[in-house]
Amino acid sequence: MPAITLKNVTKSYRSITVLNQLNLEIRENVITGLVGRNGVGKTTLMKMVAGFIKESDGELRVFGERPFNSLKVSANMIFIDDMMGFPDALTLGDLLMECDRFYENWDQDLAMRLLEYFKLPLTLNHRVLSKGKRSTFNAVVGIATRCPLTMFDEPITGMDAGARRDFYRALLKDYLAHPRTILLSSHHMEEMEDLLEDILIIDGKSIAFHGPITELQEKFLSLQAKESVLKSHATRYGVVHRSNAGPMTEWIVDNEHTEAEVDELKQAGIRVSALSASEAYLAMTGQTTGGVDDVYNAMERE
Amino acid sequence: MFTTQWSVNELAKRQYLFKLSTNGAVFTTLIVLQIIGTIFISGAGSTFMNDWGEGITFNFTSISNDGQVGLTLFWALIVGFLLTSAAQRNESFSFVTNRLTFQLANFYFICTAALLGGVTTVLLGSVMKIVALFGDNIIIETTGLLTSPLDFFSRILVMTAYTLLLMMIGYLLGTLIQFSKLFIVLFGLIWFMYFTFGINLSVGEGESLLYFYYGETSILLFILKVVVSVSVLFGISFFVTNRLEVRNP
Repeated sequence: MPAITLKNVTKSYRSITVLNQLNLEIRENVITGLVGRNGVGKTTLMKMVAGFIKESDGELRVFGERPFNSLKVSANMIFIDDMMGFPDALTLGDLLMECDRFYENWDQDLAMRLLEYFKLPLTLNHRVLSKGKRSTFNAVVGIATRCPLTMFDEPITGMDAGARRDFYRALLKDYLAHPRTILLSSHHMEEMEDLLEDILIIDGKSIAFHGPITELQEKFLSLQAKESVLKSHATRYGVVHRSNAGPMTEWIVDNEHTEAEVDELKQAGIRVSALSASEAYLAMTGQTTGGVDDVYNAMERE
Repeated sequence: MFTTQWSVNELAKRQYLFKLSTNGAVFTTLIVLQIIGTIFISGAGSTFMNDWGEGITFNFTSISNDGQVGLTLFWALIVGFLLTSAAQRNESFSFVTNRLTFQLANFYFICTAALLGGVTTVLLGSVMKIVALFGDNIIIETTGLLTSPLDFFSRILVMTAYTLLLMMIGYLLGTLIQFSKLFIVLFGLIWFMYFTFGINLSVGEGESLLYFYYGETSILLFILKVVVSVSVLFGISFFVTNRLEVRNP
């Protein structure tokens, strides 16, 4: 049974549709990376799955239950982000005790050791923590609760490079020891690429890609050559992205080539190379360099 | 797969304990308010003199703890209101809950706070008597726990009931405002109309709404009225909150 199932799920806030007719199945006990540009509805999707907000239309199931107002889903799920509400009156140590009260799989020992490692004293108040420390604390809570469904929404906000690396490492180790369904959203795909099994890319209110990360890596090819050469040899392929870097032009095209075609391209002097998952993601969502230049160029011309 | 199964009761209980530990300030505030009330309002007694013209004069001074009662009721309204804040909701929803257990926990918390408010306010009456004893040449005529225990306990019961009622009113107002900010305008308008035009919130023949409660002479009927009112208030709050989205941008 898939952990999360969406059938034609739509979410709108008044007149604004954030997610439109999503169909999706998240596999159980798999780490899925949720990526997409700002404001495409990643958080909205997670909050719907968490049961915080209600789907406007369609059928959403988490382990077979509708999450909104479901005690079962709430007990087996945790949603971690940097806006988590923790009461001012409690210290970090108190908060750990509360987690112990509410989550059956909670590992108090692990949480204490991790907080010690990250230099978070138990006597501190959550409110006085810096942004990075707060994210670290929340991430530790997310790891130590060991919920069958664990969702991290931008967990690394404000963390320094060391803390980020440690977080990914701790998450992976804990996942291997205690497999569970993990949904992880972040803008730094290159950092979490090694961790992920599946990728879910949301773009323009719907799903642009969902599948194993290897599939995404094989989805495109990068062709580099002079623009004229590309234009004469590579026009039969669907071009996802074009960019100019110095004398060379790079086209990112759909990977639907036979061996012979690739050889042909190489003979024409075109550099053919594979893409990493994060490069493929950036190309798909139009985040590769140069986009915003057009805005400034246009302004200068006027 | 699900590994954890909670019953509604169990979780409501845990959420309630969580609320108690995070909302300690509510009780501190009550105590501070009552201390303030005792120090600054305790003098608010009325004195009158009776002169029989034969060289004997009696000074009757009646001291009441109406001031503290007022402050406690005010506190109750605010506490009920604050329990509906977005922060309170987000804190609860950071842990395991649904809207039902969240509301039940709130209700348990309100009952606890009301009981505490009721008991302490009535006990403050005894503090007032001790304060009065410091005056000279005084004969105190009063009823207390020992002289009329039934009276004493009925006072606690009634005070608790009023506190509970006020908290639930605050809770409902807060809930409605959380549901839609338009209710602020509506409540403001009602408030304005009430004070400007003196529109009487009347039920039946010129009886005010408040008389419905304080005019009741039978304690059982009074309790019944309060219980029914609280149920209705909680029912409306429950219905409204049960559809509310949390952590909504």
